[in-house]
Amino acid sequence: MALLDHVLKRQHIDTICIDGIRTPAAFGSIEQEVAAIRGSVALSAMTHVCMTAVEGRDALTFVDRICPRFLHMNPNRMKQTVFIDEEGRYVADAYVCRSGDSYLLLCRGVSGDAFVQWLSALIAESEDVSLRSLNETYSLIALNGPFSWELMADIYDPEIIGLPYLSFYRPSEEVLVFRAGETGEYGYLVAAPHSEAAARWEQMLAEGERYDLVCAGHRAVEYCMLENNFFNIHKEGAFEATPAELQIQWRVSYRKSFLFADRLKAMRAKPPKARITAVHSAQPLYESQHLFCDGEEGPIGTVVNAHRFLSGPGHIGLAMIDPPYAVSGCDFYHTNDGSCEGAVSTVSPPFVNNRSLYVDPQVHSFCDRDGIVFPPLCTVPMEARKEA
Amino acid sequence: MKEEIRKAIERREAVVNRLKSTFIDNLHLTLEPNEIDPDAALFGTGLELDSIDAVDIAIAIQTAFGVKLRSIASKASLRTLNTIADLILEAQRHHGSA
Repeated sequence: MALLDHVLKRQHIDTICIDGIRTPAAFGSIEQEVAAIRGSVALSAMTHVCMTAVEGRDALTFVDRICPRFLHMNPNRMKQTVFIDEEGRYVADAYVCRSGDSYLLLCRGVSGDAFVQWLSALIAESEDVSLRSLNETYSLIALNGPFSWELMADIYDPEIIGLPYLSFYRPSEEVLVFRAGETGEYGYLVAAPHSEAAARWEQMLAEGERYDLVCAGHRAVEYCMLENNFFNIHKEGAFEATPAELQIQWRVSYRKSFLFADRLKAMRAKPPKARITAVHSAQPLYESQHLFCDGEEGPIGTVVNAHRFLSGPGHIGLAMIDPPYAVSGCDFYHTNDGSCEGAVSTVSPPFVNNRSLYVDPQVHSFCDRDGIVFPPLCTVPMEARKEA
Repeated sequence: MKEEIRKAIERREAVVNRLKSTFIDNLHLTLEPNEIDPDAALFGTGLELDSIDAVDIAIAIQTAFGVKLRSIASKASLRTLNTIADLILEAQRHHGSA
Protein backbone atom coordinates (compact mmCIF):
# COMPACT_ATOMS: atom_id res chain seq x y z
CA MET A 1 0.00 0.00 0.00
CA ALA A 2 1.34 3.44 -0.92
CA LEU A 3 2.06 5.78 1.99
CA LEU A 4 -0.77 8.24 1.32
CA ASP A 5 -3.35 5.42 1.27
CA HIS A 6 -2.07 4.23 4.62
CA VAL A 7 -2.12 7.71 6.15
CA LEU A 8 -5.66 8.36 4.88
CA LYS A 9 -6.87 4.99 6.10
CA ARG A 10 -5.43 5.69 9.52
CA GLN A 11 -6.83 9.20 9.98
CA HIS A 12 -9.25 11.45 8.11
CA ILE A 13 -7.20 14.41 6.94
CA ASP A 14 -7.37 17.14 4.31
CA THR A 15 -5.21 16.58 1.26
CA ILE A 16 -3.94 19.04 -1.31
CA CYS A 17 -2.93 18.53 -4.93
CA ILE A 18 0.67 19.60 -5.59
CA ASP A 19 2.00 19.23 -9.13
CA GLY A 20 -0.84 16.81 -9.86
CA ILE A 21 -0.12 14.60 -6.83
CA ARG A 22 -2.14 14.43 -3.63
CA THR A 23 -0.34 15.00 -0.36
CA PRO A 24 -1.53 15.59 3.23
CA ALA A 25 -2.37 19.27 3.70
CA ALA A 26 -2.77 19.22 7.49
CA PHE A 27 -3.21 16.69 10.27
CA GLY A 28 -4.33 19.16 12.94
CA SER A 29 -3.83 22.83 13.61
CA ILE A 30 -0.97 24.52 11.76
CA GLU A 31 0.13 26.09 15.06
CA GLN A 32 0.63 22.66 16.63
CA GLU A 33 2.41 21.27 13.57
CA VAL A 34 4.76 24.26 13.27
CA ALA A 35 5.47 24.11 17.02
CA ALA A 36 6.60 20.49 16.57
CA ILE A 37 8.86 21.38 13.64
CA ARG A 38 10.37 24.22 15.70
CA GLY A 39 10.53 22.48 19.06
CA SER A 40 10.53 18.70 18.87
CA VAL A 41 9.96 16.39 15.86
CA ALA A 42 7.44 16.43 13.00
CA LEU A 43 6.62 13.56 10.65
CA SER A 44 5.51 14.30 7.07
CA ALA A 45 4.54 12.29 4.00
CA MET A 46 6.35 13.85 1.03
CA THR A 47 4.28 12.17 -1.67
CA HIS A 48 4.55 15.21 -3.96
CA VAL A 49 8.37 15.14 -4.19
CA CYS A 50 9.32 13.39 -7.39
CA MET A 51 12.20 10.90 -7.29
CA THR A 52 13.97 10.05 -10.53
CA ALA A 53 16.94 7.73 -11.00
CA VAL A 54 19.29 8.61 -13.85
CA GLU A 55 21.34 5.56 -14.77
CA GLY A 56 23.45 4.23 -17.61
CA ARG A 57 27.01 4.63 -18.88
CA ASP A 58 26.53 8.37 -19.56
CA ALA A 59 24.38 9.23 -16.52
CA LEU A 60 26.99 11.48 -14.89
CA THR A 61 27.84 13.43 -18.04
CA PHE A 62 24.15 13.76 -18.97
CA VAL A 63 23.10 15.29 -15.63
CA ASP A 64 26.18 17.51 -15.66
CA ARG A 65 25.25 18.67 -19.18
CA ILE A 66 21.75 19.82 -18.16
CA CYS A 67 22.44 21.06 -14.62
CA PRO A 68 23.09 24.81 -14.11
CA ARG A 69 25.32 24.15 -11.10
CA PHE A 70 28.81 22.63 -10.94
CA LEU A 71 28.40 19.08 -9.68
CA HIS A 72 31.84 18.38 -8.25
CA MET A 73 30.90 16.08 -5.38
CA ASN A 74 31.77 12.73 -3.94
CA PRO A 75 29.39 9.77 -4.02
CA ASN A 76 26.61 9.94 -1.40
CA ARG A 77 26.61 13.73 -1.42
CA MET A 78 23.89 15.99 -2.77
CA LYS A 79 23.52 19.56 -4.06
CA GLN A 80 20.59 21.89 -4.47
CA THR A 81 19.90 23.49 -7.81
CA VAL A 82 17.07 24.60 -10.08
CA PHE A 83 16.63 23.05 -13.51
CA ILE A 84 15.71 25.62 -16.13
CA ASP A 85 14.36 25.07 -19.63
CA GLU A 86 15.22 26.66 -22.98
CA GLU A 87 12.84 29.57 -22.18
CA GLY A 88 14.51 30.25 -18.82
CA ARG A 89 11.54 28.94 -16.82
CA TYR A 90 12.10 26.96 -13.64
CA VAL A 91 11.30 23.31 -14.33
CA ALA A 92 12.14 21.93 -10.90
CA ASP A 93 13.64 22.79 -7.54
CA ALA A 94 16.02 19.87 -7.14
CA TYR A 95 18.41 17.95 -4.96
CA VAL A 96 20.95 16.24 -7.21
CA CYS A 97 22.19 13.18 -5.31
CA ARG A 98 25.25 11.32 -6.56
CA SER A 99 25.15 7.58 -5.99
CA GLY A 100 28.27 6.04 -7.50
CA ASP A 101 27.92 6.25 -11.27
CA SER A 102 24.30 7.31 -11.23
CA TYR A 103 22.23 10.21 -9.96
CA LEU A 104 19.04 10.38 -8.00
CA LEU A 105 17.06 13.59 -8.49
CA LEU A 106 14.60 14.69 -5.78
CA CYS A 107 12.43 17.43 -7.27
CA ARG A 108 9.58 19.74 -6.39
CA GLY A 109 7.55 21.79 -8.84
CA VAL A 110 6.99 19.01 -11.36
CA SER A 111 5.29 15.62 -11.45
CA GLY A 112 7.41 12.50 -11.87
CA ASP A 113 5.95 11.76 -15.30
CA ALA A 114 6.38 15.32 -16.59
CA PHE A 115 9.96 15.45 -15.31
CA VAL A 116 10.92 12.14 -16.92
CA GLN A 117 9.35 13.38 -20.16
CA TRP A 118 11.34 16.63 -19.97
CA LEU A 119 14.59 14.77 -19.23
CA SER A 120 13.97 12.20 -21.99
CA ALA A 121 13.73 14.92 -24.61
CA LEU A 122 17.21 16.17 -23.61
CA ILE A 123 19.02 12.83 -23.97
CA ALA A 124 21.25 12.85 -27.05
CA GLU A 125 21.04 9.87 -29.41
CA SER A 126 24.64 8.97 -28.62
CA GLU A 127 24.09 8.94 -24.84
CA ASP A 128 23.48 5.75 -22.88
CA VAL A 129 21.06 7.06 -20.24
CA SER A 130 18.02 5.44 -18.69
CA LEU A 131 15.44 7.19 -16.52
CA ARG A 132 13.35 5.59 -13.82
CA SER A 133 10.61 7.33 -11.86
CA LEU A 134 10.84 5.94 -8.35
CA ASN A 135 7.49 7.30 -7.18
CA GLU A 136 5.80 4.19 -8.52
CA THR A 137 7.82 2.00 -6.14
CA TYR A 138 9.08 4.29 -3.35
CA SER A 139 7.53 6.56 -0.73
CA LEU A 140 9.30 9.50 0.84
CA ILE A 141 8.90 10.30 4.55
CA ALA A 142 10.32 13.42 6.23
CA LEU A 143 11.34 14.02 9.82
CA ASN A 144 12.02 17.63 10.77
CA GLY A 145 12.78 19.22 14.09
CA PRO A 146 15.61 20.07 16.49
CA PHE A 147 15.45 16.52 17.94
CA SER A 148 14.74 14.55 14.75
CA TRP A 149 18.34 13.28 14.82
CA GLU A 150 17.65 11.57 18.14
CA LEU A 151 14.63 9.68 16.81
CA MET A 152 16.56 8.74 13.65
CA ALA A 153 19.41 7.42 15.83
CA ASP A 154 16.92 5.30 17.81
CA ILE A 155 15.36 3.84 14.67
CA TYR A 156 18.40 3.37 12.45
CA ASP A 157 21.85 3.77 13.91
CA PRO A 158 23.50 6.15 16.43
CA GLU A 159 26.08 6.87 13.71
CA ILE A 160 23.35 8.75 11.82
CA ILE A 161 24.05 11.70 14.11
CA GLY A 162 27.31 12.22 12.21
CA LEU A 163 25.67 12.17 8.77
CA PRO A 164 26.69 15.52 7.21
CA TYR A 165 24.08 17.94 5.89
CA LEU A 166 23.33 17.23 2.22
CA SER A 167 24.51 13.64 2.21
CA PHE A 168 22.78 10.28 2.24
CA TYR A 169 23.34 6.65 3.10
CA ARG A 170 21.67 3.27 2.83
CA PRO A 171 20.82 1.76 6.24
CA SER A 172 19.52 -1.33 4.43
CA GLU A 173 19.35 -2.61 0.86
CA GLU A 174 15.98 -1.03 0.13
CA VAL A 175 16.03 2.15 2.23
CA LEU A 176 17.77 5.49 1.64
CA VAL A 177 18.18 8.20 4.28
CA PHE A 178 18.93 11.77 3.15
CA ARG A 179 20.06 14.48 5.53
CA ALA A 180 18.17 17.37 4.03
CA GLY A 181 15.25 19.63 4.80
CA GLU A 182 13.72 23.02 4.12
CA THR A 183 12.56 24.04 7.57
CA GLY A 184 15.87 25.27 8.99
CA GLU A 185 15.81 22.48 11.60
CA TYR A 186 17.52 19.10 11.51
CA GLY A 187 15.84 17.30 8.65
CA TYR A 188 15.84 13.79 7.20
CA LEU A 189 14.14 12.22 4.21
CA VAL A 190 13.59 8.48 4.26
CA ALA A 191 12.88 6.74 0.94
CA ALA A 192 11.37 3.29 1.46
CA PRO A 193 9.57 0.88 -0.88
CA HIS A 194 5.78 1.28 -0.83
CA SER A 195 5.56 -2.19 0.74
CA GLU A 196 7.59 -1.00 3.75
CA ALA A 197 6.48 2.64 3.98
CA ALA A 198 3.41 2.06 6.16
CA ALA A 199 5.47 0.06 8.66
CA ARG A 200 8.18 2.78 8.72
CA TRP A 201 5.51 5.43 9.28
CA GLU A 202 4.01 3.48 12.17
CA GLN A 203 7.45 2.87 13.68
CA MET A 204 8.23 6.58 13.59
CA LEU A 205 4.87 7.43 15.15
CA ALA A 206 5.34 4.87 17.93
CA GLU A 207 8.99 5.64 18.73
CA GLY A 208 8.39 9.36 18.20
CA GLU A 209 5.92 9.52 21.07
CA ARG A 210 8.69 10.07 23.59
CA TYR A 211 9.85 13.07 21.51
CA ASP A 212 6.34 14.61 21.34
CA LEU A 213 6.23 13.81 17.63
CA VAL A 214 3.40 15.40 15.68
CA CYS A 215 2.39 14.70 12.07
CA ALA A 216 2.81 17.81 9.91
CA GLY A 217 1.12 18.44 6.58
CA HIS A 218 2.25 20.36 3.52
CA ARG A 219 0.90 23.68 4.82
CA ALA A 220 3.04 23.59 7.97
CA VAL A 221 6.19 22.54 6.10
CA GLU A 222 5.60 25.21 3.44
CA TYR A 223 5.02 27.80 6.17
CA CYS A 224 8.36 26.86 7.80
CA MET A 225 10.04 27.24 4.41
CA LEU A 226 8.75 30.83 4.39
CA GLU A 227 10.00 31.47 7.93
CA ASN A 228 13.44 30.24 6.90
CA ASN A 229 13.47 31.87 3.46
CA PHE A 230 13.80 28.57 1.61
CA PHE A 231 12.97 28.97 -2.07
CA ASN A 232 9.40 27.86 -2.80
CA ILE A 233 8.95 27.01 -6.47
CA HIS A 234 5.16 27.09 -6.07
CA LYS A 235 5.12 30.64 -4.68
CA GLU A 236 7.98 32.97 -5.55
CA GLY A 237 9.29 30.44 -8.10
CA ALA A 238 6.07 30.76 -10.10
CA PHE A 239 7.03 34.32 -11.04
CA GLU A 240 8.99 35.11 -14.15
CA ALA A 241 12.12 36.17 -12.31
CA THR A 242 15.85 35.62 -12.66
CA PRO A 243 18.01 33.84 -10.05
CA ALA A 244 19.36 37.26 -8.98
CA GLU A 245 15.84 38.62 -8.52
CA LEU A 246 14.91 35.55 -6.45
CA GLN A 247 18.23 35.57 -4.55
CA ILE A 248 18.99 31.98 -5.58
CA GLN A 249 22.16 32.67 -7.58
CA TRP A 250 24.05 30.15 -5.42
CA ARG A 251 21.98 27.39 -7.01
CA VAL A 252 23.45 28.14 -10.45
CA SER A 253 26.83 29.05 -11.88
CA TYR A 254 27.20 31.64 -14.62
CA ARG A 255 30.63 30.16 -15.42
CA LYS A 256 29.39 26.67 -16.11
CA SER A 257 28.86 25.48 -19.65
CA PHE A 258 25.59 23.53 -19.71
CA LEU A 259 22.73 23.00 -22.12
CA PHE A 260 20.89 26.26 -21.39
CA ALA A 261 23.90 28.34 -20.29
CA ASP A 262 23.13 31.00 -22.93
CA ARG A 263 19.62 31.40 -21.52
CA LEU A 264 21.00 31.75 -17.99
CA LYS A 265 23.53 34.35 -19.17
CA ALA A 266 20.74 36.26 -20.95
CA MET A 267 18.74 36.24 -17.68
CA ARG A 268 21.76 37.60 -15.85
CA ALA A 269 22.30 40.35 -18.44
CA LYS A 270 18.79 41.73 -17.95
CA PRO A 271 18.66 44.60 -15.45
CA PRO A 272 16.77 43.33 -12.39
CA LYS A 273 13.13 44.45 -12.34
CA ALA A 274 12.71 43.56 -8.68
CA ARG A 275 14.35 41.64 -5.86
CA ILE A 276 12.69 39.31 -3.41
CA THR A 277 12.72 40.85 0.06
CA ALA A 278 11.38 39.67 3.41
CA VAL A 279 8.67 41.84 4.94
CA HIS A 280 6.88 42.08 8.29
CA SER A 281 3.72 43.97 9.22
CA ALA A 282 1.32 44.26 12.12
CA GLN A 283 -1.48 44.19 9.55
CA PRO A 284 -2.38 41.16 7.39
CA LEU A 285 -0.24 40.56 4.32
CA TYR A 286 -1.51 38.54 1.38
CA GLU A 287 -0.31 37.45 -2.04
CA SER A 288 -0.71 39.99 -4.88
CA GLN A 289 -0.99 42.85 -2.36
CA HIS A 290 0.87 45.99 -3.47
CA LEU A 291 3.40 47.84 -1.34
CA PHE A 292 3.79 51.60 -1.45
CA CYS A 293 6.31 54.19 -0.34
CA ASP A 294 5.45 57.79 0.46
CA GLY A 295 6.59 60.08 -2.31
CA GLU A 296 6.13 57.43 -5.02
CA GLU A 297 3.04 57.49 -7.22
CA GLY A 298 2.70 53.79 -7.99
CA PRO A 299 3.42 50.62 -6.03
CA ILE A 300 7.05 49.75 -5.29
CA GLY A 301 6.44 46.02 -4.87
CA THR A 302 4.06 43.08 -4.67
CA VAL A 303 3.73 40.43 -1.96
CA VAL A 304 4.30 36.94 -3.43
CA ASN A 305 4.17 34.74 -0.32
CA ALA A 306 2.63 35.61 3.05
CA HIS A 307 1.22 34.17 6.26
CA ARG A 308 0.27 35.16 9.76
CA PHE A 309 3.46 34.94 11.81
CA LEU A 310 3.21 31.87 14.04
CA SER A 311 6.56 32.32 15.82
CA GLY A 312 6.07 35.97 16.68
CA PRO A 313 3.65 38.86 16.38
CA GLY A 314 2.10 40.19 13.17
CA HIS A 315 2.42 38.85 9.65
CA ILE A 316 5.38 37.84 7.51
CA GLY A 317 5.93 37.58 3.80
CA LEU A 318 8.18 37.82 0.79
CA ALA A 319 7.69 40.62 -1.70
CA MET A 320 9.13 41.36 -5.11
CA ILE A 321 10.27 44.96 -4.56
CA ASP A 322 11.69 47.46 -7.07
CA PRO A 323 15.51 47.48 -6.91
CA PRO A 324 16.13 50.85 -5.24
CA TYR A 325 13.73 49.90 -2.42
CA ALA A 326 14.55 46.18 -2.08
CA VAL A 327 16.74 46.65 0.96
CA SER A 328 16.43 45.05 4.37
CA GLY A 329 15.92 47.23 7.45
CA CYS A 330 13.55 49.83 5.93
CA ASP A 331 10.50 51.00 7.92
CA PHE A 332 9.12 53.33 5.26
CA TYR A 333 6.70 51.17 3.31
CA HIS A 334 3.02 50.42 3.66
CA THR A 335 0.09 48.57 2.20
CA ASN A 336 -2.95 50.53 1.12
CA ASP A 337 -6.19 48.65 0.80
CA GLY A 338 -8.73 51.40 0.62
CA SER A 339 -9.61 52.25 4.20
CA CYS A 340 -6.85 50.16 5.75
CA GLU A 341 -3.20 51.21 5.58
CA GLY A 342 -0.58 49.12 7.34
CA ALA A 343 3.08 49.91 7.94
CA VAL A 344 5.46 47.36 6.41
CA SER A 345 9.10 46.83 7.38
CA THR A 346 11.67 45.03 5.27
CA VAL A 347 13.63 42.60 7.45
CA SER A 348 16.54 40.16 7.21
CA PRO A 349 15.38 36.55 6.99
CA PRO A 350 15.25 33.97 8.45
CA PHE A 351 12.37 35.10 10.64
CA VAL A 352 13.33 32.59 13.37
CA ASN A 353 16.35 31.60 15.43
CA ASN A 354 16.22 27.89 14.62
CA ARG A 355 16.51 25.73 17.73
CA SER A 356 18.65 23.28 15.76
CA LEU A 357 21.46 25.86 15.73
CA TYR A 358 21.66 25.52 19.51
CA VAL A 359 21.00 21.80 19.91
CA ASP A 360 24.23 19.81 19.83
CA PRO A 361 23.62 16.07 19.30
CA GLN A 362 26.95 15.34 21.03
CA VAL A 363 25.79 17.10 24.20
CA HIS A 364 22.03 17.48 24.30
CA SER A 365 18.99 15.26 24.37
CA PHE A 366 15.25 15.85 24.10
CA CYS A 367 14.75 14.84 27.72
CA ASP A 368 17.22 17.55 28.82
CA ARG A 369 15.82 20.22 26.50
CA ASP A 370 14.73 22.55 29.32
CA GLY A 371 18.40 23.06 30.20
CA ILE A 372 19.39 24.31 26.75
CA VAL A 373 19.85 28.08 26.47
CA PHE A 374 17.96 29.39 23.45
CA PRO A 375 17.68 32.99 22.25
CA PRO A 376 14.16 34.30 21.49
CA LEU A 377 12.58 32.35 18.61
CA CYS A 378 11.52 35.46 16.68
CA THR A 379 14.25 37.44 14.87
CA VAL A 380 12.09 40.36 13.73
CA PRO A 381 13.60 43.52 15.27
CA MET A 382 11.81 45.11 18.20
CA GLU A 383 11.08 48.31 16.22
CA ALA A 384 9.13 46.31 13.65
CA ARG A 385 7.45 44.18 16.32
CA LYS A 386 6.23 46.92 18.62
CA GLU A 387 3.26 47.85 16.41
CA ALA A 388 2.12 44.25 16.08
CA MET B 1 12.75 59.13 -3.35
CA LYS B 2 12.61 61.03 -0.06
CA GLU B 3 15.96 62.12 1.37
CA GLU B 4 15.45 60.22 4.65
CA ILE B 5 14.74 56.98 2.76
CA ARG B 6 17.59 57.48 0.32
CA LYS B 7 20.08 58.00 3.18
CA ALA B 8 18.89 54.93 5.08
CA ILE B 9 19.13 52.75 1.97
CA GLU B 10 22.57 54.10 1.06
CA ARG B 11 23.85 53.48 4.60
CA ARG B 12 22.73 49.87 4.47
CA GLU B 13 23.96 49.26 0.92
CA ALA B 14 27.39 50.60 1.89
CA VAL B 15 27.66 48.06 4.72
CA VAL B 16 26.40 45.15 2.58
CA ASN B 17 28.76 46.04 -0.29
CA ARG B 18 31.72 46.28 2.08
CA LEU B 19 30.75 42.94 3.58
CA LYS B 20 30.74 41.38 0.11
CA SER B 21 34.27 42.66 -0.55
CA THR B 22 35.38 41.46 2.90
CA PHE B 23 34.02 37.98 2.20
CA ILE B 24 35.52 37.76 -1.29
CA ASP B 25 38.94 38.96 -0.13
CA ASN B 26 39.20 37.00 3.12
CA LEU B 27 37.62 33.75 2.00
CA HIS B 28 39.11 33.92 -1.52
CA LEU B 29 35.72 33.41 -3.13
CA THR B 30 35.71 33.18 -6.94
CA LEU B 31 32.54 35.25 -7.16
CA GLU B 32 31.75 38.78 -8.23
CA PRO B 33 30.02 40.95 -5.61
CA ASN B 34 26.72 40.97 -7.50
CA GLU B 35 26.68 37.16 -7.49
CA ILE B 36 26.36 37.12 -3.69
CA ASP B 37 22.73 37.53 -2.66
CA PRO B 38 22.34 39.41 0.63
CA ASP B 39 19.71 36.98 1.96
CA ALA B 40 21.46 33.76 0.81
CA ALA B 41 22.55 31.41 3.59
CA LEU B 42 26.25 31.51 4.46
CA PHE B 43 26.52 28.02 5.98
CA GLY B 44 25.15 24.66 4.89
CA THR B 45 23.60 25.82 1.64
CA GLY B 46 24.19 29.16 -0.12
CA LEU B 47 27.88 30.06 0.08
CA GLU B 48 28.52 26.67 1.79
CA LEU B 49 30.99 28.10 4.30
CA ASP B 50 32.32 25.99 7.18
CA SER B 51 33.29 26.53 10.82
CA ILE B 52 36.84 27.59 9.89
CA ASP B 53 35.41 30.22 7.55
CA ALA B 54 33.22 31.41 10.47
CA VAL B 55 36.33 32.22 12.52
CA ASP B 56 37.87 34.06 9.56
CA ILE B 57 34.64 36.01 9.06
CA ALA B 58 34.43 37.02 12.72
CA ILE B 59 38.02 38.34 12.61
CA ALA B 60 37.47 40.09 9.27
CA ILE B 61 34.29 41.80 10.54
CA GLN B 62 36.08 43.00 13.63
CA THR B 63 38.93 44.38 11.51
CA ALA B 64 36.73 46.02 8.88
CA PHE B 65 33.91 47.35 11.08
CA GLY B 66 35.26 47.25 14.64
CA VAL B 67 32.37 44.98 15.67
CA LYS B 68 33.08 42.01 17.90
CA LEU B 69 30.73 39.01 17.67
CA ARG B 70 29.57 37.58 20.98
CA SER B 71 29.10 33.82 21.01
CA ILE B 72 25.31 33.71 21.51
CA ALA B 73 24.76 36.55 19.06
CA SER B 74 27.10 35.12 16.47
CA LYS B 75 24.95 32.08 15.64
CA ALA B 76 21.93 34.29 15.09
CA SER B 77 23.88 36.94 13.19
CA LEU B 78 26.15 34.85 10.98
CA ARG B 79 23.34 33.55 8.81
CA THR B 80 23.33 35.89 5.82
CA LEU B 81 25.05 39.10 4.77
CA ASN B 82 21.92 40.99 5.78
CA THR B 83 21.84 39.55 9.31
CA ILE B 84 25.49 40.55 9.74
CA ALA B 85 24.68 44.01 8.34
CA ASP B 86 21.90 44.31 10.96
CA LEU B 87 24.43 43.62 13.70
CA ILE B 88 26.95 46.12 12.32
CA LEU B 89 24.37 48.89 11.82
CA GLU B 90 23.01 48.28 15.33
CA ALA B 91 26.52 48.53 16.78
CA GLN B 92 27.18 51.70 14.79
CA ARG B 93 23.90 53.22 16.09
CA HIS B 94 24.89 52.44 19.69
CA HIS B 95 28.38 53.82 19.13
CA GLY B 96 26.93 56.98 17.55
CA SER B 97 24.50 57.56 20.40
CA ALA B 98 27.04 56.79 23.14
